[in-house]
Amino acid sequence: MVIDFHTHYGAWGRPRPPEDTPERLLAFLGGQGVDGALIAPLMGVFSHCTDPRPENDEIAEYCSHAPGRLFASFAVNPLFGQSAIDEIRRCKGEYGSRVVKLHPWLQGFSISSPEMDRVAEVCEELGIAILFHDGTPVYSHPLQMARLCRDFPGLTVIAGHAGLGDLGREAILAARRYSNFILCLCGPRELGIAEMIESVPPGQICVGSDIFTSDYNEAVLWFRWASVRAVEMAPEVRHAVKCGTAKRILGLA
Amino acid sequence: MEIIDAHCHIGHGINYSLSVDDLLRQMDAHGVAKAVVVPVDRCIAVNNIEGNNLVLDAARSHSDRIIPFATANPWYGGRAVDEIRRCFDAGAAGLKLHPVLQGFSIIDEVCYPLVEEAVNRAKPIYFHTGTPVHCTPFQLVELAMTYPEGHFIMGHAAYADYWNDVSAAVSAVGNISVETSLHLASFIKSLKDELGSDKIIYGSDAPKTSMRVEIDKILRYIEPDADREAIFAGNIRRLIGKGC
Repeated sequence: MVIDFHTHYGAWGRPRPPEDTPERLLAFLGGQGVDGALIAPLMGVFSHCTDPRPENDEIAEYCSHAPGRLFASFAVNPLFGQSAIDEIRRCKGEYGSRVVKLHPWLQGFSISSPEMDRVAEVCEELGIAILFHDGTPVYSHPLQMARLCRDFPGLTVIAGHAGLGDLGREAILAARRYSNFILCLCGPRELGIAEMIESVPPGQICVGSDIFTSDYNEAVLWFRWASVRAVEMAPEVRHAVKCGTAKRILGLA
Repeated sequence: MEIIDAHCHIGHGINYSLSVDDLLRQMDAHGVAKAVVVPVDRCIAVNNIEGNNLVLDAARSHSDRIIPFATANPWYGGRAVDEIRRCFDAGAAGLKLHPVLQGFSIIDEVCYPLVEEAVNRAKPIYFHTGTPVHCTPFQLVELAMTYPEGHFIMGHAAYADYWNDVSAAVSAVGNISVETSLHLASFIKSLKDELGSDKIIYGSDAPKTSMRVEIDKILRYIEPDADREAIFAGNIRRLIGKGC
Protein backbone atom coordinates (compact mmCIF):
# COMPACT_ATOMS: atom_id res chain seq x y z
CA MET A 1 0.00 0.00 0.00
CA VAL A 2 1.59 3.24 -1.17
CA ILE A 3 0.76 6.21 1.05
CA ASP A 4 1.13 9.88 0.19
CA PHE A 5 1.92 11.34 3.60
CA HIS A 6 1.54 15.01 2.74
CA THR A 7 -1.67 16.10 1.06
CA HIS A 8 -4.14 18.82 1.89
CA TYR A 9 -7.87 19.11 2.06
CA GLY A 10 -9.88 21.33 -0.20
CA ALA A 11 -8.61 23.50 -3.01
CA TRP A 12 -6.09 26.30 -3.31
CA GLY A 13 -7.75 29.55 -2.31
CA ARG A 14 -11.30 28.24 -2.18
CA PRO A 15 -13.46 25.64 -0.40
CA ARG A 16 -13.39 22.02 -1.43
CA PRO A 17 -15.56 21.58 -4.53
CA PRO A 18 -18.46 19.18 -3.92
CA GLU A 19 -17.37 16.91 -6.76
CA ASP A 20 -14.13 16.17 -4.91
CA THR A 21 -15.37 13.01 -3.24
CA PRO A 22 -13.18 10.47 -1.44
CA GLU A 23 -13.78 8.05 -4.31
CA ARG A 24 -12.60 10.61 -6.83
CA LEU A 25 -9.54 11.46 -4.75
CA LEU A 26 -8.58 7.79 -4.51
CA ALA A 27 -8.94 7.40 -8.27
CA PHE A 28 -6.80 10.50 -8.77
CA LEU A 29 -4.10 9.17 -6.44
CA GLY A 30 -4.30 5.79 -8.11
CA GLY A 31 -3.27 7.42 -11.38
CA GLN A 32 0.22 7.74 -9.90
CA GLY A 33 0.18 4.39 -8.15
CA VAL A 34 -0.76 5.83 -4.77
CA ASP A 35 -3.26 3.86 -2.67
CA GLY A 36 -3.89 6.14 0.28
CA ALA A 37 -3.12 9.52 1.78
CA LEU A 38 -2.79 11.50 4.94
CA ILE A 39 -4.98 14.56 4.51
CA ALA A 40 -4.03 17.72 6.36
CA PRO A 41 -6.05 20.92 6.61
CA LEU A 42 -5.37 23.78 4.25
CA MET A 43 -7.43 26.70 5.55
CA GLY A 44 -6.43 25.78 9.09
CA VAL A 45 -2.76 26.41 8.48
CA PHE A 46 -3.21 30.07 7.63
CA SER A 47 -2.87 32.70 10.32
CA HIS A 48 -6.27 34.21 9.62
CA CYS A 49 -8.02 30.96 10.54
CA THR A 50 -9.55 31.78 13.91
CA ASP A 51 -11.30 28.45 14.39
CA PRO A 52 -9.77 25.30 12.86
CA ARG A 53 -12.46 23.01 14.27
CA PRO A 54 -14.95 23.05 11.35
CA GLU A 55 -12.29 22.05 8.85
CA ASN A 56 -10.88 19.45 11.23
CA ASP A 57 -14.37 17.95 11.52
CA GLU A 58 -14.90 18.05 7.75
CA ILE A 59 -11.67 16.19 7.10
CA ALA A 60 -12.48 13.50 9.65
CA GLU A 61 -15.91 13.03 8.09
CA TYR A 62 -14.45 12.98 4.56
CA CYS A 63 -11.87 10.35 5.47
CA SER A 64 -14.46 8.20 7.27
CA HIS A 65 -15.80 7.26 3.83
CA ALA A 66 -12.52 5.58 2.94
CA PRO A 67 -11.30 3.83 6.09
CA GLY A 68 -7.83 2.39 5.77
CA ARG A 69 -7.14 4.50 2.69
CA LEU A 70 -7.63 8.13 3.71
CA PHE A 71 -6.31 9.31 7.06
CA ALA A 72 -7.38 12.55 8.67
CA SER A 73 -4.94 14.99 10.11
CA PHE A 74 -5.97 18.19 11.84
CA ALA A 75 -4.61 21.67 12.55
CA VAL A 76 -4.26 23.95 15.51
CA ASN A 77 -2.36 27.19 15.97
CA PRO A 78 -0.08 27.01 19.03
CA LEU A 79 -0.55 30.75 19.55
CA PHE A 80 -4.17 30.05 20.53
CA GLY A 81 -2.91 28.55 23.80
CA GLN A 82 -5.42 26.51 25.76
CA SER A 83 -7.92 26.28 22.91
CA ALA A 84 -5.21 24.67 20.78
CA ILE A 85 -4.54 22.16 23.53
CA ASP A 86 -8.27 21.49 23.88
CA GLU A 87 -8.58 20.91 20.14
CA ILE A 88 -5.71 18.42 20.15
CA ARG A 89 -7.42 16.45 22.93
CA ARG A 90 -10.77 16.66 21.13
CA CYS A 91 -9.37 15.35 17.81
CA LYS A 92 -7.64 12.50 19.61
CA GLY A 93 -10.75 11.66 21.63
CA GLU A 94 -13.37 11.99 18.89
CA TYR A 95 -11.42 10.84 15.85
CA GLY A 96 -8.40 8.96 17.16
CA SER A 97 -6.21 11.39 15.21
CA ARG A 98 -2.53 10.55 15.04
CA VAL A 99 -1.07 13.52 13.18
CA VAL A 100 -1.41 17.27 13.66
CA LYS A 101 -0.30 19.66 10.94
CA LEU A 102 1.55 22.85 11.90
CA HIS A 103 2.86 25.53 9.56
CA PRO A 104 5.15 27.91 11.47
CA TRP A 105 5.54 30.26 8.50
CA LEU A 106 1.89 30.67 7.56
CA GLN A 107 0.63 30.49 11.14
CA GLY A 108 3.24 32.94 12.33
CA PHE A 109 4.62 31.17 15.36
CA SER A 110 8.12 30.22 16.44
CA ILE A 111 9.04 26.58 16.97
CA SER A 112 11.24 27.75 19.82
CA SER A 113 8.36 29.35 21.72
CA PRO A 114 6.67 28.26 24.98
CA GLU A 115 3.39 27.93 23.07
CA MET A 116 5.00 25.35 20.79
CA ASP A 117 6.34 23.46 23.79
CA ARG A 118 2.86 23.15 25.28
CA VAL A 119 1.59 21.66 22.02
CA ALA A 120 4.58 19.32 21.82
CA GLU A 121 4.04 18.20 25.39
CA VAL A 122 0.41 17.22 24.86
CA CYS A 123 1.19 15.58 21.52
CA GLU A 124 3.86 13.49 23.18
CA GLU A 125 1.38 12.53 25.91
CA LEU A 126 -1.32 11.51 23.39
CA GLY A 127 0.94 9.84 20.83
CA ILE A 128 0.24 12.40 18.15
CA ALA A 129 2.95 13.09 15.58
CA ILE A 130 3.55 16.65 14.39
CA LEU A 131 3.75 17.18 10.64
CA PHE A 132 5.56 20.48 10.14
CA HIS A 133 5.94 22.59 7.08
CA ASP A 134 9.68 22.97 6.93
CA GLY A 135 12.42 24.40 4.78
CA THR A 136 11.39 28.05 4.78
CA PRO A 137 13.64 30.36 6.79
CA VAL A 138 13.36 31.84 9.34
CA TYR A 139 10.47 30.06 10.96
CA SER A 140 10.76 26.47 9.83
CA HIS A 141 14.25 25.05 9.92
CA PRO A 142 14.61 21.29 10.44
CA LEU A 143 17.08 21.87 13.27
CA GLN A 144 14.57 24.10 15.05
CA MET A 145 12.19 21.13 14.91
CA ALA A 146 14.87 18.68 15.97
CA ARG A 147 15.14 20.50 19.28
CA LEU A 148 11.66 19.20 20.04
CA CYS A 149 12.90 15.64 19.54
CA ARG A 150 15.47 16.24 22.24
CA ASP A 151 13.11 17.89 24.70
CA PHE A 152 10.18 15.54 24.00
CA PRO A 153 11.79 12.20 23.21
CA GLY A 154 8.46 10.41 22.94
CA LEU A 155 7.25 12.80 20.25
CA THR A 156 7.41 12.04 16.53
CA VAL A 157 8.37 15.08 14.46
CA ILE A 158 7.90 14.97 10.69
CA ALA A 159 9.69 17.47 8.45
CA GLY A 160 6.95 17.71 5.85
CA HIS A 161 9.31 18.87 3.10
CA ALA A 162 12.56 17.21 4.25
CA GLY A 163 14.26 20.58 4.14
CA LEU A 164 12.56 21.69 0.92
CA GLY A 165 14.98 23.32 -1.53
CA ASP A 166 17.70 24.65 0.73
CA LEU A 167 17.74 22.85 4.06
CA GLY A 168 18.02 19.20 3.10
CA ARG A 169 21.37 18.85 4.84
CA GLU A 170 19.83 20.19 8.04
CA ALA A 171 17.05 17.67 7.70
CA ILE A 172 19.55 14.83 7.29
CA LEU A 173 21.51 15.91 10.37
CA ALA A 174 18.32 16.12 12.40
CA ALA A 175 17.21 12.65 11.32
CA ARG A 176 20.62 11.14 12.02
CA ARG A 177 20.67 12.62 15.51
CA TYR A 178 17.10 11.76 16.48
CA SER A 179 15.33 8.54 15.56
CA ASN A 180 11.98 10.25 16.16
CA PHE A 181 12.66 12.78 13.40
CA ILE A 182 11.03 11.77 10.11
CA LEU A 183 11.76 13.10 6.62
CA CYS A 184 8.83 13.43 4.23
CA LEU A 185 10.27 13.55 0.72
CA CYS A 186 8.44 16.54 -0.71
CA GLY A 187 10.92 19.13 -1.85
CA PRO A 188 14.46 17.82 -2.32
CA ARG A 189 15.24 16.81 -5.88
CA GLU A 190 16.77 13.54 -7.00
CA LEU A 191 20.34 14.12 -5.80
CA GLY A 192 19.05 15.25 -2.42
CA ILE A 193 16.64 12.33 -2.18
CA ALA A 194 19.47 9.91 -2.98
CA GLU A 195 21.60 11.46 -0.22
CA MET A 196 18.76 11.08 2.25
CA ILE A 197 18.19 7.46 1.28
CA GLU A 198 21.88 6.80 1.78
CA SER A 199 22.22 8.69 5.06
CA VAL A 200 19.01 8.10 6.99
CA PRO A 201 17.38 4.82 8.04
CA PRO A 202 14.43 4.06 5.72
CA GLY A 203 12.12 3.82 8.72
CA GLN A 204 12.57 7.57 9.11
CA ILE A 205 11.59 8.44 5.53
CA CYS A 206 8.22 8.73 3.85
CA VAL A 207 6.89 10.48 0.72
CA GLY A 208 4.41 13.30 0.22
CA SER A 209 3.17 15.37 -2.69
CA ASP A 210 1.60 18.44 -1.03
CA ILE A 211 -1.33 18.26 -3.45
CA PHE A 212 -4.20 20.73 -3.30
CA THR A 213 -1.82 23.61 -2.71
CA SER A 214 -1.90 24.39 -6.43
CA ASP A 215 -4.34 24.91 -9.27
CA TYR A 216 -2.51 22.13 -11.11
CA ASN A 217 -2.69 19.19 -8.75
CA GLU A 218 -2.14 16.49 -11.33
CA ALA A 219 1.18 18.14 -12.15
CA VAL A 220 2.12 18.32 -8.47
CA LEU A 221 1.25 14.67 -7.83
CA TRP A 222 3.06 13.41 -10.91
CA PHE A 223 6.16 15.52 -10.27
CA ARG A 224 6.70 14.53 -6.65
CA TRP A 225 6.26 10.83 -7.26
CA ALA A 226 8.26 10.92 -10.50
CA SER A 227 11.16 12.40 -8.54
CA VAL A 228 11.06 9.55 -6.04
CA ARG A 229 10.69 6.93 -8.77
CA ALA A 230 13.77 8.35 -10.52
CA VAL A 231 15.99 7.54 -7.54
CA GLU A 232 17.48 4.07 -7.28
CA MET A 233 16.84 2.27 -3.99
CA ALA A 234 16.71 -1.29 -2.74
CA PRO A 235 13.25 -2.89 -2.76
CA GLU A 236 13.03 -3.01 1.03
CA VAL A 237 14.04 0.64 1.26
CA ARG A 238 11.50 1.64 -1.37
CA HIS A 239 8.82 -0.27 0.53
CA ALA A 240 9.64 1.49 3.79
CA VAL A 241 9.71 4.90 2.15
CA LYS A 242 6.49 4.49 0.18
CA CYS A 243 4.56 2.63 2.84
CA GLY A 244 6.20 1.29 5.99
CA THR A 245 7.12 4.52 7.72
CA ALA A 246 3.71 6.06 7.09
CA LYS A 247 1.89 2.95 8.33
CA ARG A 248 3.92 2.92 11.52
CA ILE A 249 3.13 6.56 12.27
CA LEU A 250 -0.54 5.91 11.53
CA GLY A 251 -0.55 2.90 13.84
CA LEU A 252 -1.25 0.44 11.03
CA ALA A 253 1.97 -1.52 11.20
CA MET B 1 11.57 19.31 -31.31
CA GLU B 2 15.05 20.55 -30.45
CA ILE B 3 15.96 20.63 -26.77
CA ILE B 4 18.72 22.85 -25.45
CA ASP B 5 19.39 22.33 -21.76
CA ALA B 6 20.32 25.74 -20.39
CA HIS B 7 21.91 24.56 -17.16
CA CYS B 8 24.16 21.55 -16.52
CA HIS B 9 27.30 21.06 -14.46
CA ILE B 10 30.41 19.09 -15.37
CA GLY B 11 33.47 18.24 -13.34
CA HIS B 12 34.42 16.51 -10.13
CA GLY B 13 32.79 18.34 -7.25
CA ILE B 14 32.37 18.03 -3.50
CA ASN B 15 28.61 17.49 -3.56
CA TYR B 16 28.12 16.20 -7.10
CA SER B 17 30.11 15.16 -10.15
CA LEU B 18 29.42 14.55 -13.81
CA SER B 19 31.89 13.82 -16.60
CA VAL B 20 31.51 15.27 -20.08
CA ASP B 21 31.00 11.78 -21.47
CA ASP B 22 28.28 10.97 -18.95
CA LEU B 23 26.55 14.26 -19.71
CA LEU B 24 26.63 13.49 -23.44
CA ARG B 25 25.25 10.00 -22.74
CA GLN B 26 22.39 11.49 -20.75
CA MET B 27 21.73 14.04 -23.48
CA ASP B 28 21.62 11.29 -26.09
CA ALA B 29 19.32 9.15 -23.95
CA HIS B 30 16.83 11.98 -23.51
CA GLY B 31 17.01 13.67 -26.89
CA VAL B 32 18.88 16.78 -25.79
CA ALA B 33 20.70 18.41 -28.69
CA LYS B 34 22.85 20.90 -26.78
CA ALA B 35 23.61 21.88 -23.23
CA VAL B 36 24.82 25.01 -21.52
CA VAL B 37 27.54 23.77 -19.20
CA VAL B 38 29.01 25.37 -16.09
CA PRO B 39 31.56 24.12 -13.53
CA VAL B 40 30.71 22.18 -10.37
CA ASP B 41 30.43 23.49 -6.81
CA ARG B 42 34.06 23.80 -5.67
CA CYS B 43 35.05 25.23 -9.03
CA ILE B 44 32.29 27.80 -8.79
CA ALA B 45 33.44 28.74 -5.30
CA VAL B 46 37.23 28.84 -5.53
CA ASN B 47 38.86 26.77 -8.28
CA ASN B 48 37.41 28.93 -11.03
CA ILE B 49 40.19 28.48 -13.58
CA GLU B 50 40.14 24.69 -13.27
CA GLY B 51 36.38 24.60 -13.75
CA ASN B 52 36.34 27.06 -16.62
CA ASN B 53 39.09 25.19 -18.44
CA LEU B 54 37.13 21.95 -18.20
CA VAL B 55 34.03 23.61 -19.57
CA LEU B 56 35.93 25.34 -22.39
CA ASP B 57 37.77 22.13 -23.29
CA ALA B 58 34.47 20.25 -23.42
CA ALA B 59 33.05 22.88 -25.75
CA ARG B 60 36.10 22.68 -28.00
CA SER B 61 35.83 18.88 -28.17
CA HIS B 62 32.06 18.89 -28.69
CA SER B 63 31.36 22.22 -30.31
CA ASP B 64 28.05 20.98 -31.72
CA ARG B 65 26.76 19.89 -28.28
CA ILE B 66 28.33 21.92 -25.47
CA ILE B 67 27.84 25.65 -24.85
CA PRO B 68 30.22 26.93 -22.16
CA PHE B 69 29.32 29.45 -19.47
CA ALA B 70 32.18 30.68 -17.29
CA THR B 71 32.30 31.71 -13.66
CA ALA B 72 34.58 33.60 -11.32
CA ASN B 73 34.27 34.46 -7.66
CA PRO B 74 33.72 38.23 -7.50
CA TRP B 75 35.84 38.47 -4.36
CA TYR B 76 38.91 37.77 -6.48
CA GLY B 77 38.44 41.29 -7.83
CA GLY B 78 40.61 42.14 -10.83
CA ARG B 79 41.75 38.54 -11.18
CA ALA B 80 38.10 37.49 -11.52
CA VAL B 81 37.53 40.04 -14.27
CA ASP B 82 40.67 38.88 -16.06
CA GLU B 83 39.48 35.30 -15.85
CA ILE B 84 36.09 36.10 -17.28
CA ARG B 85 37.69 38.09 -20.10
CA ARG B 86 39.92 35.12 -20.87
CA CYS B 87 36.92 32.82 -20.95
CA PHE B 88 34.85 35.11 -23.16
CA ASP B 89 37.79 35.39 -25.54
CA ALA B 90 37.99 31.59 -25.56
CA GLY B 91 34.34 31.21 -26.46
CA ALA B 92 32.32 31.29 -23.26
CA ALA B 93 28.76 32.21 -24.16
CA GLY B 94 27.68 33.56 -20.81
CA LEU B 95 28.51 34.24 -17.17
CA LYS B 96 27.33 32.14 -14.24
CA LEU B 97 27.31 33.59 -10.72
CA HIS B 98 26.32 31.79 -7.54
CA PRO B 99 25.85 34.10 -4.54
CA VAL B 100 25.72 31.23 -2.03
CA LEU B 101 28.85 29.40 -3.15
CA GLN B 102 30.70 32.61 -3.91
CA GLY B 103 29.67 34.46 -0.76
CA PHE B 104 28.00 37.65 -1.90
CA SER B 105 24.55 39.10 -2.35
CA ILE B 106 23.16 39.90 -5.77
CA ILE B 107 22.96 43.53 -4.69
CA ASP B 108 26.57 43.69 -3.46
CA GLU B 109 28.67 45.94 -5.64
CA VAL B 110 31.47 43.40 -5.46
CA CYS B 111 29.84 41.59 -8.38
CA TYR B 112 29.41 44.69 -10.54
CA PRO B 113 32.75 44.44 -12.42
CA LEU B 114 31.91 40.91 -13.58
CA VAL B 115 28.39 41.90 -14.51
CA GLU B 116 29.72 44.88 -16.46
CA GLU B 117 32.16 42.70 -18.34
CA ALA B 118 29.33 40.39 -19.39
CA VAL B 119 27.02 43.27 -20.26
CA ASN B 120 29.71 44.95 -22.37
CA ARG B 121 30.23 41.70 -24.27
CA ALA B 122 26.45 41.12 -24.68
CA LYS B 123 26.64 37.86 -22.73
CA PRO B 124 23.70 36.62 -20.63
CA ILE B 125 24.27 36.37 -16.89
CA TYR B 126 22.88 33.35 -15.06
CA PHE B 127 22.33 33.77 -11.33
CA HIS B 128 21.57 30.94 -8.94
CA THR B 129 18.46 32.22 -7.15
CA GLY B 130 16.04 31.15 -4.47
CA THR B 131 18.31 30.66 -1.49
CA PRO B 132 17.72 33.16 1.31
CA VAL B 133 19.08 35.73 1.93
CA HIS B 134 21.59 36.37 -0.82
CA CYS B 135 19.79 35.60 -4.05
CA THR B 136 16.15 36.54 -4.12
CA PRO B 137 14.04 37.50 -7.13
CA PHE B 138 13.76 41.15 -6.21
CA GLN B 139 17.48 41.44 -5.59
CA LEU B 140 17.91 40.31 -9.17
CA VAL B 141 15.38 42.93 -10.25
CA GLU B 142 17.52 45.60 -8.57
CA LEU B 143 20.56 44.44 -10.50
CA ALA B 144 18.59 44.22 -13.73
CA MET B 145 17.42 47.80 -13.20
CA THR B 146 21.00 48.90 -12.56
CA TYR B 147 22.08 47.25 -15.82
CA PRO B 148 19.08 47.58 -18.14
CA GLU B 149 21.21 46.73 -21.16
CA GLY B 150 22.18 43.38 -19.63
CA HIS B 151 20.17 40.17 -19.72
CA PHE B 152 19.77 38.07 -16.60
CA ILE B 153 18.58 34.51 -16.06
CA MET B 154 16.83 33.72 -12.78
CA GLY B 155 18.23 30.26 -12.10
CA HIS B 156 15.92 27.55 -10.75
CA ALA B 157 12.99 29.97 -10.85
CA ALA B 158 14.00 30.90 -7.30
CA TYR B 159 13.12 27.46 -5.94
CA ALA B 160 11.62 26.97 -3.35
CA ASP B 161 9.58 29.47 -1.35
CA TYR B 162 10.31 32.60 -3.34
CA TRP B 163 7.80 31.31 -5.87
CA ASN B 164 5.47 34.03 -4.64
CA ASP B 165 7.83 36.68 -6.02
CA VAL B 166 8.92 35.29 -9.36
CA SER B 167 6.16 36.48 -11.64
CA ALA B 168 6.01 39.96 -10.13
CA ALA B 169 9.79 40.28 -10.26
CA VAL B 170 10.13 39.22 -13.88
CA SER B 171 7.24 41.47 -14.87
CA ALA B 172 8.92 44.45 -13.21
CA VAL B 173 11.71 44.60 -15.78
CA GLY B 174 12.22 43.51 -19.35
CA ASN B 175 15.60 41.86 -19.03
CA ILE B 176 15.09 38.80 -16.84
CA SER B 177 14.28 35.28 -18.04
CA VAL B 178 13.44 32.39 -15.72
CA GLU B 179 15.17 29.00 -15.85
CA THR B 180 13.03 26.00 -14.94
CA SER B 181 15.24 23.47 -13.14
CA LEU B 182 14.37 22.15 -9.68
CA HIS B 183 10.97 23.79 -9.53
CA LEU B 184 7.57 22.10 -9.51
CA ALA B 185 5.92 21.26 -12.81
CA SER B 186 2.78 23.00 -11.58
CA PHE B 187 4.69 26.20 -10.90
CA ILE B 188 6.31 26.27 -14.32
CA LYS B 189 2.88 25.84 -15.86
CA SER B 190 1.53 28.74 -13.79
CA LEU B 191 4.51 30.85 -14.71
CA LYS B 192 3.95 30.24 -18.41
CA ASP B 193 0.32 31.24 -18.02
CA GLU B 194 1.30 34.46 -16.24
CA LEU B 195 4.43 35.51 -18.12
CA GLY B 196 4.06 33.83 -21.49
CA SER B 197 6.55 31.37 -22.89
CA ASP B 198 9.08 33.95 -24.09
CA LYS B 199 10.40 34.55 -20.57
CA ILE B 200 10.99 30.90 -19.68
CA ILE B 201 14.10 28.84 -20.41
CA TYR B 202 14.40 25.10 -19.93
CA GLY B 203 17.24 23.77 -17.77
CA SER B 204 17.81 20.56 -15.84
CA ASP B 205 20.60 21.36 -13.35
CA ALA B 206 22.03 17.92 -14.11
CA PRO B 207 23.39 15.99 -12.30
CA LYS B 208 21.30 17.25 -9.38
CA THR B 209 18.07 16.16 -11.00
CA SER B 210 16.82 13.51 -13.36
CA MET B 211 17.04 14.96 -16.86
CA ARG B 212 14.06 12.78 -17.77
CA VAL B 213 11.84 14.26 -15.05
CA GLU B 214 12.89 17.79 -15.96
CA ILE B 215 12.08 17.28 -19.65
CA ASP B 216 8.81 15.50 -18.90
CA LYS B 217 7.56 18.33 -16.73
CA ILE B 218 7.68 20.57 -19.81
CA LEU B 219 6.36 17.97 -22.25
CA ARG B 220 3.46 17.03 -19.99
CA TYR B 221 2.33 20.43 -18.83
CA ILE B 222 3.32 23.05 -21.39
CA GLU B 223 1.36 23.47 -24.59
CA PRO B 224 1.03 24.23 -27.45
CA ASP B 225 4.14 23.11 -29.31
CA ALA B 226 5.14 26.71 -30.06
CA ASP B 227 5.46 27.40 -26.34
CA ARG B 228 7.41 24.20 -25.79
CA GLU B 229 9.75 25.12 -28.62
CA ALA B 230 10.36 28.56 -27.13
CA ILE B 231 11.04 27.15 -23.67
CA PHE B 232 13.12 24.19 -24.83
CA ALA B 233 15.30 26.02 -27.33
CA GLY B 234 14.14 29.29 -28.87
CA ASN B 235 14.61 31.56 -25.89
CA ILE B 236 18.10 30.46 -24.90
CA ARG B 237 19.14 30.39 -28.56
CA ARG B 238 18.01 33.99 -28.92
CA LEU B 239 19.90 35.05 -25.79
CA ILE B 240 23.13 33.41 -26.75
CA GLY B 241 22.92 34.40 -30.39
CA LYS B 242 25.75 33.24 -32.53
CA GLY B 243 27.26 31.30 -29.66
CA CYS B 244 24.46 28.81 -29.89
